[in-house]
Amino acid sequence: MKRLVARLMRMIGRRTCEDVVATLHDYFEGSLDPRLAAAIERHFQGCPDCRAFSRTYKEVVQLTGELGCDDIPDEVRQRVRAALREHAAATR
Amino acid sequence: MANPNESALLARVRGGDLSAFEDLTRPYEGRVYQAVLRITRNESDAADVYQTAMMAAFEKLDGFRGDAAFGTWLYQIAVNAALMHQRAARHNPVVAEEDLPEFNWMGGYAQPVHDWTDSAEDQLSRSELRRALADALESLPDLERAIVWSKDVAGMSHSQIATATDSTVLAVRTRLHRARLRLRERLARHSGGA
Repeated sequence: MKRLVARLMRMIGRRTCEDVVATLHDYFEGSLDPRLAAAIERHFQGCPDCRAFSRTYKEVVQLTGELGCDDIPDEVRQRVRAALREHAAATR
Repeated sequence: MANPNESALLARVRGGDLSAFEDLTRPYEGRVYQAVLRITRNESDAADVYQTAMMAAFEKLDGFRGDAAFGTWLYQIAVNAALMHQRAARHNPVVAEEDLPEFNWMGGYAQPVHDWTDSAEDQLSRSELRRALADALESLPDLERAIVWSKDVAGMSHSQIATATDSTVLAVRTRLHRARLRLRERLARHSGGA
C-alpha cells in the first residue's frame, strides 16, 4: 500500500516524507537529479516535519564533525617507534 | 605523491632512514589513531591495531606509487586493519531497528518530528549533544561507525572509504546514510522527541 501511495504521488510530481528521508544524503551532497531536487524542495515548503527532520539530519553531520581530534598517546607513538627499530634490526 | 617534501621523506625511508618514516607519518598519526580508536572502541585494542597498521604501512611502502595522497593511503590501511580486528574478535554491536525512522502507510512520519537544533546553538547544550552523539556512535555496527567517522570527521571521499572498507561506493553511501539516520534518531530520543 505504501509503495502504491508513493508511486501515485511521484506520478503527480510529489514525494512522500519517506521518499525525502531516503534522499537526504544525496540532497545535501548536491548530487540529486535537478527535477528530483526540485520535487524535494516543493515538499519541504509544505511539510514542517520534513524541514525539521532535514535540519536535525544536517546538524548530526555537523556535530559528528566536531567530535574529531588529533590526539595520540605518546606511549602509542613510542610503541611504534620501538617496533620499527626491532623490525629494522631483525631484517638487517 | 603531490607533496615534494613527502617524496623526499619517502626516498629516505626506502633508503633505510627510520626517522624519516616518523616524519612522514607525523602529520597523520593523530587522525589515524583516532579513527582506529573509534572503530575498536577501546584504547588497548586501538594501540595494538595502530601499531599493526603502521608496521603494515612501513612494509608496504615500496608498493606506494602515489595514486592516492600518502595520508589517505595510510588512513585506509589503518581502517582496514581496525575492521579486520573487529571481525576477528566479533566485536559487533547489535542494533535495534527502532533506531531508524518509522513511516505510516501514507509514507508520512509515524510520530511528529521534534526539531532539537535550537538547543544545539547553546554551547553547554551543544557539548551535551556531542557527548550523546559520541555514545550513539559507539552503538553503531562497526562498519557503519567506521564509515561515518571516515566521512564526517576525517573528510574522506566515498571512494576512498570504499577502498578502506573493501566495499563499493554505493554500499558506502547507503551505510553512511543509514548510520546518520540512526544517530539522528538517538539524538532525537535524547532530546525528548522523535
